[in-house]
Amino acid sequence: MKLKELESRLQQVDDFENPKLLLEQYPTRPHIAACMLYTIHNTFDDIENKVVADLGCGCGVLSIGSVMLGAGLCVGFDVDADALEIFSRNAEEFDLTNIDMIQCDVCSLPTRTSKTFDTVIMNPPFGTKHNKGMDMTFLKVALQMAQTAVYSLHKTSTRKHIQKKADEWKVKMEVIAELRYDLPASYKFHKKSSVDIEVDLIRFSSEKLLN
Amino acid sequence: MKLLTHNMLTSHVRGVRPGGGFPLRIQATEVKVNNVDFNQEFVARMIPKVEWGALVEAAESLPPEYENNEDFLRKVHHVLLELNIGLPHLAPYSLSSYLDCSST
Repeated sequence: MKLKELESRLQQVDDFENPKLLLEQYPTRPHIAACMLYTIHNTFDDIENKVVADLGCGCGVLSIGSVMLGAGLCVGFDVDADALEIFSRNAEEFDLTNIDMIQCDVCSLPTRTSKTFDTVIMNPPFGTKHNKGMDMTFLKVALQMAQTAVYSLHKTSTRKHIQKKADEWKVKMEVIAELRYDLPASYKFHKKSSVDIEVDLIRFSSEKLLN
Repeated sequence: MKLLTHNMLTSHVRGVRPGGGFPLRIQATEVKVNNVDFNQEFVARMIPKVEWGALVEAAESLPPEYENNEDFLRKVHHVLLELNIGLPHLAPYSLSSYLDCSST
Protein backbone atom coordinates (compact mmCIF):
# COMPACT_ATOMS: atom_id res chain seq x y z
CA MET A 1 0.00 0.00 0.00
CA LYS A 2 1.27 3.46 -0.86
CA LEU A 3 1.69 6.13 1.81
CA LYS A 4 -0.91 8.37 0.16
CA GLU A 5 -3.45 5.57 0.09
CA LEU A 6 -2.84 4.71 3.73
CA GLU A 7 -3.28 8.34 4.72
CA SER A 8 -6.50 8.73 2.78
CA ARG A 9 -7.93 5.57 4.30
CA LEU A 10 -6.99 6.76 7.78
CA GLN A 11 -8.82 10.00 7.11
CA GLN A 12 -12.03 8.03 7.35
CA VAL A 13 -11.32 6.97 10.93
CA ASP A 14 -13.59 8.79 13.37
CA ASP A 15 -12.05 10.75 16.23
CA PHE A 16 -12.95 11.72 19.79
CA GLU A 17 -16.44 13.14 20.09
CA ASN A 18 -15.82 14.84 23.42
CA PRO A 19 -12.08 14.81 24.09
CA LYS A 20 -11.18 14.56 27.77
CA LEU A 21 -8.60 17.04 28.93
CA LEU A 22 -7.43 15.00 31.89
CA LEU A 23 -6.58 12.10 29.62
CA GLU A 24 -4.84 14.45 27.17
CA GLN A 25 -6.95 13.17 24.34
CA TYR A 26 -5.53 14.71 21.22
CA PRO A 27 -6.23 12.99 17.95
CA THR A 28 -3.36 11.42 16.05
CA ARG A 29 -3.83 13.10 12.69
CA PRO A 30 -4.05 10.80 9.67
CA HIS A 31 -0.93 12.33 8.15
CA ILE A 32 1.19 11.68 11.24
CA ALA A 33 -0.27 8.23 11.76
CA ALA A 34 0.34 7.25 8.15
CA CYS A 35 3.96 8.55 8.12
CA MET A 36 4.65 6.80 11.36
CA LEU A 37 3.22 3.42 10.37
CA TYR A 38 4.63 3.55 6.86
CA THR A 39 8.15 4.07 8.21
CA ILE A 40 7.78 1.32 10.81
CA HIS A 41 6.55 -1.05 8.14
CA ASN A 42 8.91 -0.21 5.30
CA THR A 43 12.13 0.56 7.11
CA PHE A 44 11.94 -1.87 9.99
CA ASP A 45 9.35 -4.49 8.98
CA ASP A 46 7.86 -4.43 12.46
CA ILE A 47 4.16 -4.62 11.51
CA GLU A 48 3.39 -7.29 8.93
CA ASN A 49 2.54 -10.64 10.55
CA LYS A 50 3.39 -9.21 13.94
CA VAL A 51 1.47 -9.00 17.21
CA VAL A 52 1.19 -5.28 17.81
CA ALA A 53 0.06 -3.42 20.93
CA ASP A 54 -1.22 0.15 20.77
CA LEU A 55 -1.05 1.86 24.17
CA GLY A 56 -3.46 4.69 24.82
CA CYS A 57 -5.07 3.78 21.52
CA GLY A 58 -8.01 6.19 21.81
CA CYS A 59 -10.19 5.83 18.75
CA GLY A 60 -7.73 3.40 17.24
CA VAL A 61 -6.17 5.15 14.26
CA LEU A 62 -2.73 3.55 14.82
CA SER A 63 -4.24 0.11 15.43
CA ILE A 64 -6.39 0.34 12.34
CA GLY A 65 -3.44 1.49 10.24
CA SER A 66 -1.32 -1.38 11.56
CA VAL A 67 -3.91 -3.94 10.58
CA MET A 68 -4.20 -2.33 7.14
CA LEU A 69 -0.46 -2.86 6.77
CA GLY A 70 -0.79 -6.54 7.60
CA ALA A 71 -0.41 -6.91 11.37
CA GLY A 72 -1.45 -10.41 12.40
CA LEU A 73 -3.18 -9.05 15.47
CA CYS A 74 -3.33 -5.60 16.98
CA VAL A 75 -4.53 -5.05 20.54
CA GLY A 76 -5.50 -1.54 21.59
CA PHE A 77 -5.36 -0.53 25.26
CA ASP A 78 -7.12 2.53 26.64
CA VAL A 79 -8.64 3.58 29.92
CA ASP A 80 -11.49 5.46 28.27
CA ALA A 81 -14.55 3.37 27.42
CA ASP A 82 -16.04 6.16 25.27
CA ALA A 83 -12.98 6.26 23.03
CA LEU A 84 -13.04 2.47 22.71
CA GLU A 85 -16.67 2.60 21.64
CA ILE A 86 -15.63 4.82 18.74
CA PHE A 87 -12.68 2.54 18.04
CA SER A 88 -15.04 -0.41 17.92
CA ARG A 89 -17.30 1.35 15.42
CA ASN A 90 -14.28 2.31 13.33
CA ALA A 91 -13.02 -1.27 13.20
CA GLU A 92 -16.45 -2.46 12.23
CA GLU A 93 -16.79 0.11 9.48
CA PHE A 94 -13.47 -0.90 7.97
CA ASP A 95 -14.43 -4.54 8.40
CA LEU A 96 -11.19 -5.29 10.23
CA THR A 97 -11.21 -8.43 12.29
CA ASN A 98 -7.62 -8.79 13.51
CA ILE A 99 -8.26 -6.33 16.31
CA ASP A 100 -8.99 -6.59 19.99
CA MET A 101 -9.46 -3.76 22.43
CA ILE A 102 -8.85 -3.82 26.13
CA GLN A 103 -10.21 -1.24 28.53
CA CYS A 104 -7.67 -0.77 31.29
CA ASP A 105 -5.27 1.67 32.85
CA VAL A 106 -2.06 1.29 30.87
CA CYS A 107 -0.08 2.14 33.99
CA SER A 108 -1.32 -1.03 35.66
CA LEU A 109 -0.13 -3.35 32.89
CA PRO A 110 3.60 -3.85 33.59
CA THR A 111 5.18 -7.00 34.96
CA ARG A 112 2.27 -9.06 33.75
CA THR A 113 2.72 -9.08 30.04
CA SER A 114 6.43 -9.12 29.56
CA LYS A 115 7.62 -9.57 26.00
CA THR A 116 4.48 -11.09 24.62
CA PHE A 117 4.00 -8.48 21.89
CA ASP A 118 6.40 -8.10 18.99
CA THR A 119 5.93 -4.39 18.54
CA VAL A 120 4.39 -1.61 20.60
CA ILE A 121 3.27 1.55 18.86
CA MET A 122 1.86 4.54 20.66
CA ASN A 123 1.12 8.20 20.74
CA PRO A 124 1.28 8.58 24.50
CA PRO A 125 -0.05 11.46 26.56
CA PHE A 126 2.78 13.99 26.51
CA GLY A 127 2.42 14.52 30.22
CA THR A 128 1.94 18.23 30.05
CA LYS A 129 -1.36 18.68 31.87
CA HIS A 130 -1.68 17.60 35.49
CA ASN A 131 -0.06 14.29 34.65
CA LYS A 132 3.61 15.06 34.43
CA GLY A 133 5.76 12.12 33.51
CA MET A 134 2.90 10.14 32.00
CA ASP A 135 4.80 9.80 28.71
CA MET A 136 7.67 8.08 30.50
CA THR A 137 5.31 5.80 32.43
CA PHE A 138 3.78 4.69 29.13
CA LEU A 139 7.23 4.17 27.68
CA LYS A 140 8.32 2.01 30.56
CA VAL A 141 5.26 -0.19 30.24
CA ALA A 142 5.76 -0.41 26.47
CA LEU A 143 9.37 -1.50 26.88
CA GLN A 144 8.26 -4.30 29.14
CA MET A 145 5.65 -5.51 26.67
CA ALA A 146 7.67 -5.40 23.46
CA GLN A 147 9.97 -8.13 22.32
CA THR A 148 11.46 -6.27 19.36
CA ALA A 149 10.77 -2.56 19.36
CA VAL A 150 8.70 0.31 20.71
CA TYR A 151 7.69 3.22 18.49
CA SER A 152 6.54 6.32 20.24
CA LEU A 153 5.92 10.01 19.65
CA HIS A 154 7.53 12.48 22.03
CA LYS A 155 7.91 16.21 22.09
CA THR A 156 11.24 17.15 20.55
CA SER A 157 11.84 19.48 23.46
CA THR A 158 12.05 16.48 25.79
CA ARG A 159 14.56 14.52 23.68
CA LYS A 160 17.48 14.95 26.07
CA HIS A 161 15.46 13.79 29.02
CA ILE A 162 14.26 10.74 27.13
CA GLN A 163 17.79 9.89 26.02
CA LYS A 164 18.88 10.04 29.64
CA LYS A 165 16.09 7.67 30.65
CA ALA A 166 16.87 5.35 27.75
CA ASP A 167 20.50 5.16 28.85
CA GLU A 168 19.42 4.53 32.39
CA TRP A 169 17.10 1.73 31.25
CA LYS A 170 19.77 0.43 28.88
CA VAL A 171 17.67 0.60 25.74
CA LYS A 172 18.77 1.76 22.33
CA MET A 173 17.03 4.92 21.17
CA GLU A 174 16.93 6.26 17.62
CA VAL A 175 15.03 9.29 16.45
CA ILE A 176 13.74 8.06 13.11
CA ALA A 177 11.67 11.06 12.10
CA GLU A 178 11.02 14.61 13.15
CA LEU A 179 7.42 15.55 12.59
CA ARG A 180 5.24 18.56 12.95
CA TYR A 181 2.21 17.71 14.98
CA ASP A 182 -0.59 19.94 13.87
CA LEU A 183 -2.67 20.29 16.96
CA PRO A 184 -6.09 21.70 16.22
CA ALA A 185 -7.71 23.66 19.02
CA SER A 186 -9.82 21.12 20.82
CA TYR A 187 -10.04 22.62 24.28
CA LYS A 188 -11.23 25.94 25.62
CA PHE A 189 -7.82 26.96 26.92
CA HIS A 190 -6.42 26.89 23.39
CA LYS A 191 -6.20 30.42 22.12
CA LYS A 192 -5.10 29.75 18.56
CA SER A 193 -7.11 27.69 16.09
CA SER A 194 -4.22 25.33 15.65
CA VAL A 195 -0.61 25.12 16.67
CA ASP A 196 2.33 23.08 15.40
CA ILE A 197 4.45 21.30 17.91
CA GLU A 198 7.61 19.45 17.03
CA VAL A 199 7.58 15.78 17.81
CA ASP A 200 10.08 12.97 17.38
CA LEU A 201 9.15 9.53 16.21
CA ILE A 202 11.48 7.41 18.28
CA ARG A 203 12.36 3.75 17.97
CA PHE A 204 13.42 2.03 21.14
CA SER A 205 14.86 -1.33 20.40
CA SER A 206 15.79 -4.50 22.06
CA GLU A 207 19.26 -5.94 22.46
CA LYS A 208 18.73 -4.70 25.96
CA LEU A 209 15.03 -4.12 26.48
CA LEU A 210 13.75 -3.94 30.05
CA ASN A 211 13.04 -7.07 32.03
CA MET B 1 -11.60 -11.00 23.31
CA LYS B 2 -9.69 -13.44 21.15
CA LEU B 3 -7.99 -16.34 22.85
CA LEU B 4 -4.71 -15.15 21.33
CA THR B 5 -5.09 -11.78 23.04
CA HIS B 6 -6.03 -13.52 26.25
CA ASN B 7 -2.92 -15.61 25.94
CA MET B 8 -0.73 -12.56 25.34
CA LEU B 9 -2.04 -11.01 28.54
CA THR B 10 -1.47 -14.18 30.48
CA SER B 11 1.35 -14.23 32.89
CA HIS B 12 4.28 -16.07 31.40
CA VAL B 13 6.05 -16.16 34.69
CA ARG B 14 7.35 -19.60 35.43
CA GLY B 15 5.59 -21.35 38.22
CA VAL B 16 2.32 -19.58 37.70
CA ARG B 17 -0.05 -22.36 36.99
CA PRO B 18 -2.49 -21.96 34.13
CA GLY B 19 -5.68 -20.59 35.54
CA GLY B 20 -3.94 -18.82 38.39
CA GLY B 21 -2.14 -15.93 36.75
CA PHE B 22 -3.17 -12.69 35.15
CA PRO B 23 -5.90 -12.35 33.88
CA LEU B 24 -6.54 -15.97 33.28
CA ARG B 25 -9.93 -16.34 34.83
CA ILE B 26 -12.38 -16.37 31.99
CA GLN B 27 -16.01 -15.84 32.62
CA ALA B 28 -17.20 -17.06 29.30
CA THR B 29 -20.81 -16.02 29.45
CA GLU B 30 -20.85 -16.42 25.73
CA VAL B 31 -18.56 -17.60 23.02
CA LYS B 32 -18.97 -16.00 19.61
CA VAL B 33 -17.32 -16.90 16.38
CA ASN B 34 -16.31 -14.31 13.82
CA ASN B 35 -14.43 -14.92 10.61
CA VAL B 36 -10.86 -13.73 10.28
CA ASP B 37 -8.83 -14.10 7.11
CA PHE B 38 -6.45 -17.01 7.42
CA ASN B 39 -2.82 -15.94 7.47
CA GLN B 40 -0.70 -19.07 7.48
CA GLU B 41 2.61 -17.34 8.08
CA PHE B 42 1.29 -15.43 11.06
CA VAL B 43 -0.34 -18.42 12.70
CA ALA B 44 2.85 -20.43 12.23
CA ARG B 45 4.80 -17.62 13.90
CA MET B 46 2.41 -17.72 16.86
CA ILE B 47 2.93 -21.41 17.59
CA PRO B 48 6.09 -21.00 19.65
CA LYS B 49 4.80 -17.80 21.27
CA VAL B 50 1.56 -19.13 22.64
CA GLU B 51 1.53 -20.36 26.20
CA TRP B 52 0.03 -23.70 25.36
CA GLY B 53 -0.25 -24.75 28.95
CA ALA B 54 -2.67 -21.90 29.45
CA LEU B 55 -4.61 -22.79 26.36
CA VAL B 56 -4.67 -26.54 26.35
CA GLU B 57 -3.47 -29.20 28.67
CA ALA B 58 -1.90 -31.35 26.04
CA ALA B 59 1.04 -29.29 24.85
CA GLU B 60 2.80 -32.40 23.58
CA SER B 61 0.15 -33.01 20.97
CA LEU B 62 1.62 -30.47 18.53
CA PRO B 63 2.17 -32.22 15.21
CA PRO B 64 5.70 -32.28 13.80
CA GLU B 65 6.50 -29.80 11.00
CA TYR B 66 3.44 -27.76 11.80
CA GLU B 67 4.70 -24.83 9.67
CA ASN B 68 3.49 -26.58 6.53
CA ASN B 69 0.53 -28.39 8.00
CA GLU B 70 -2.28 -26.18 6.71
CA ASP B 71 -5.06 -28.26 8.24
CA PHE B 72 -3.54 -27.95 11.65
CA LEU B 73 -2.77 -24.22 11.28
CA ARG B 74 -6.35 -23.54 10.19
CA LYS B 75 -7.60 -25.12 13.38
CA VAL B 76 -5.19 -23.05 15.44
CA HIS B 77 -6.27 -19.94 13.52
CA HIS B 78 -9.87 -20.67 14.38
CA VAL B 79 -9.15 -21.13 18.06
CA LEU B 80 -6.81 -18.17 18.47
CA LEU B 81 -8.46 -15.59 16.30
CA GLU B 82 -12.04 -16.49 15.50
CA LEU B 83 -13.40 -17.47 18.89
CA ASN B 84 -14.33 -14.52 21.07
CA ILE B 85 -14.75 -15.07 24.74
CA GLY B 86 -16.77 -13.10 27.22
CA LEU B 87 -18.09 -10.50 24.85
CA PRO B 88 -19.04 -10.25 21.21
CA HIS B 89 -16.42 -9.47 18.62
CA LEU B 90 -14.96 -5.96 18.82
CA ALA B 91 -16.54 -5.17 22.16
CA PRO B 92 -14.01 -3.43 24.40
CA TYR B 93 -12.99 -5.77 27.16
CA SER B 94 -12.56 -4.33 30.61
CA LEU B 95 -9.58 -5.61 32.50
CA SER B 96 -10.31 -3.80 35.73
CA SER B 97 -12.31 -6.65 37.19
CA TYR B 98 -9.38 -8.98 36.64
CA LEU B 99 -6.50 -6.80 37.72
CA ASP B 100 -5.04 -7.55 41.04
CA CYS B 101 -2.62 -4.68 41.57
CA SER B 102 -1.54 -5.86 45.00
CA SER B 103 0.74 -8.64 43.82
CA THR B 104 3.36 -7.12 41.57
